[in-house]
Amino acid sequence: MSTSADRATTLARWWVGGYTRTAPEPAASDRRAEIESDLFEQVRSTDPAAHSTWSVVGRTVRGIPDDLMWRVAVEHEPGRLDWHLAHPATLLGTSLVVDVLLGNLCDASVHRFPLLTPLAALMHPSLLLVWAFTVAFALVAMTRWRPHRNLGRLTMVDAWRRASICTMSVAGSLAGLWRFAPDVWGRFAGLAWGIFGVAVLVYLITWLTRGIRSALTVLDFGKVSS
Amino acid sequence: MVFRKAGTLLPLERSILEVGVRRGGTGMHGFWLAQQLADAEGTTSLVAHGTLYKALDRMRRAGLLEARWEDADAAADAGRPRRRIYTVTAAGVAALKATTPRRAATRRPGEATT
Repeated sequence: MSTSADRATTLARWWVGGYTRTAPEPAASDRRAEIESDLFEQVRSTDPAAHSTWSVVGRTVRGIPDDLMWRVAVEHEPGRLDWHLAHPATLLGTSLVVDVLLGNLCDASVHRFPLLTPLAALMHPSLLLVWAFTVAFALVAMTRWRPHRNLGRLTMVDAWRRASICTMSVAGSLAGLWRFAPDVWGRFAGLAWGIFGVAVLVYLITWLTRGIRSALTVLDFGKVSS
Repeated sequence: MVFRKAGTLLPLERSILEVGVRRGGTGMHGFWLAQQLADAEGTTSLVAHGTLYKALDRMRRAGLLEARWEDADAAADAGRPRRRIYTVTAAGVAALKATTPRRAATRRPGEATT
């Protein structure tokens, strides 16, 4: 297998791992195993068009809308809302990604790309809805907070990482919502951004800690517990 | 999530059933199916992972296909990951047959039937 094909399959695995992460079982593991088998067969195919790097990348990228729709569909299974309220990092992390993407598109529509201007009337209310949903969801999740259930068997590093993702999402949304009442609440936006910054810092520390632990595990041939 | 009239098949679903019926009881796995669909359309572009596996999952849930995982030992002997094998069910054959006459009826007069 060529290096570029290897990178293409790594990209495909990374994407599959991302959108199936925390999805209900056995649907998630079935999907990962199916794509793993497919990638294996494709890169070893005798058909030169099929095993090209671009074919693997193209299949992954073209399938993204369907992958996202699949993830939304499996979230309709009974009990998923309760699961998300007990483990809010997945949904709050997703809303943070949507928030960043949509926020940048909104800013671009106003300042940089006139082509996007007609969409601004649609994007701004959508962003407002994402902010409101994030804050409302976080409030409901907080009322159901049970440490033994929410933290489960998480390591300390993972617990802090998830907490930082949730804090970033909620602080970012609160800062955004306060834009609409600058006279009354404007000063709290600064506080929200401050909390957001601290959460980013905590996230980076957990990310570094995990990296160092992984490196130590590799160097010590797995003797260091992760 | 597909919003459509009950009893209808999407073009991709119809193609999958056609390939599956031709294949018979042997069954088909994802990558082989993607190749067959590309051959049938006369293109070198394989159907996207997301599109193919979402369609297969939807058809399995609808009872048109049956899925089973290949034996782990057989896959290990062949030196590859396990394949998920799909076979067309009786309901799948019936769904394919039920939609076929509609296509024939819309054929223009004088057009050859094969």
